[in-house]
Amino acid sequence: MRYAFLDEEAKKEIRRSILKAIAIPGYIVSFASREMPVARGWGTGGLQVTLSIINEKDTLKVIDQGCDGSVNAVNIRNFISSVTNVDTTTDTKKATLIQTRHRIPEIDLEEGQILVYQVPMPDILETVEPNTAKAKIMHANADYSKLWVLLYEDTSMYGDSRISNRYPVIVHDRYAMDPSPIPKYDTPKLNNNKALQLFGAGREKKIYAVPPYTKVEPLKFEDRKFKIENFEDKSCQRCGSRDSFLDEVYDDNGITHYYCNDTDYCDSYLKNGAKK
Amino acid sequence: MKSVDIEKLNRDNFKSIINSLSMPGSVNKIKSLYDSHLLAVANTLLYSEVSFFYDGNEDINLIKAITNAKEESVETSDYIFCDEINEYSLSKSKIGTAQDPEFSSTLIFKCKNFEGLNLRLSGPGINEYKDVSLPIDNAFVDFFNEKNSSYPLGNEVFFLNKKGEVIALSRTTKVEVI
Repeated sequence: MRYAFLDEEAKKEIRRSILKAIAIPGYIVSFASREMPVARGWGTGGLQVTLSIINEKDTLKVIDQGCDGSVNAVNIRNFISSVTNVDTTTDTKKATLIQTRHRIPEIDLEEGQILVYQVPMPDILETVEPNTAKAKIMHANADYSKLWVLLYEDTSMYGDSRISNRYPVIVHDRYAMDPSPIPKYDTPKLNNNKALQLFGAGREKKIYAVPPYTKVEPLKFEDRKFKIENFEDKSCQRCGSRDSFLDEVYDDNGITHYYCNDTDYCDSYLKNGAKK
Repeated sequence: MKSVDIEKLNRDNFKSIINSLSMPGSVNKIKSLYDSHLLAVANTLLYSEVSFFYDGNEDINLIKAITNAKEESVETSDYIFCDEINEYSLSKSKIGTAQDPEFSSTLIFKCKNFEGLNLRLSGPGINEYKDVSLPIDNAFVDFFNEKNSSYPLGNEVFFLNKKGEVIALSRTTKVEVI
């Protein structure tokens, strides 16, 4: 079996796209997406990025919606581990390479760590401009007026944007970027993050990136504050944390329970009571 | 005969290259191939769909044969390798287009060591600022800043010293002489 499944030529192609994406933060680079042993739409973009950069010294963590134990996370972790033999972990601090679906880990990441996102729809302009050729010209001209109009319509009618996840962000004061469907709660974590963030969309054949210490700001009118999900007086029923993103879980009696979305954070909070 | 696992070398060297570019000014180590750090970088970056230009005395034919990359002129190449720091190559390299800024050249310059002009770097990948020394002159700094003034158009430049250490400047990196 070839190390990390992909052939060397495929890796070099993906690596070139990754380097260009790092050089132009937030810009979408096309690449020749390969067939993977998982279906498109199940994380093939993130998987190809991970397999192209992984080496023997890495320690891998895979999360799906904040959980290390979900089917998607377990399968991807097992697959990568089987073709590379790298160490795996569920501990965010120990991981050098984290592949994620739709969440940024609760604790702050460090320099040297790489966060790889699985992205379903890479272009934030898709919602306002379905013609991809026109969207590319809009990116080239930094013409994001349609996004601003969308934001204005929401704000004038509802007082705030209705977007609950994949909230548009502006990277390095230039490109509007889709931050993958992370909740609004995670959007501020993109800004000035110490870790390198790579985004891979396999079905759409696109890669983009945010280098460490890069300015990432949510698209927002100057007189409107960016609001994140508010859990008010709620806390995790398992560990008691009040400063994490919580899942709402309904039991058979229709009663709502709250639990930390990031399972590793919940475990470590339970064990050490540790905060960020 | 000592065998070389070229693919392992490539993935280790790519990690150094990605670390260098994502954090401009940081020093990373390249492992040599055929006793050459330049050939090791070339072997990591080149493949059949990219083109390169080499201005120097090392035997790059073997890498060309292994990677099947096309040799082209300095004006059209995706990767430009030089045995010494060369303003002319930087001036001639392509910077991409407004729609496709990634169709630009990456330059890899060999140098003896990093001693030289004291510089202050800022921009993405750098925590506020980073002071480094690079063997370039004021004219090169002016030239680099001018070439990257129409962001997102521009070039990435790598400096590779005799010890196999590499430092990168990205097109987003602001370079000031201190």
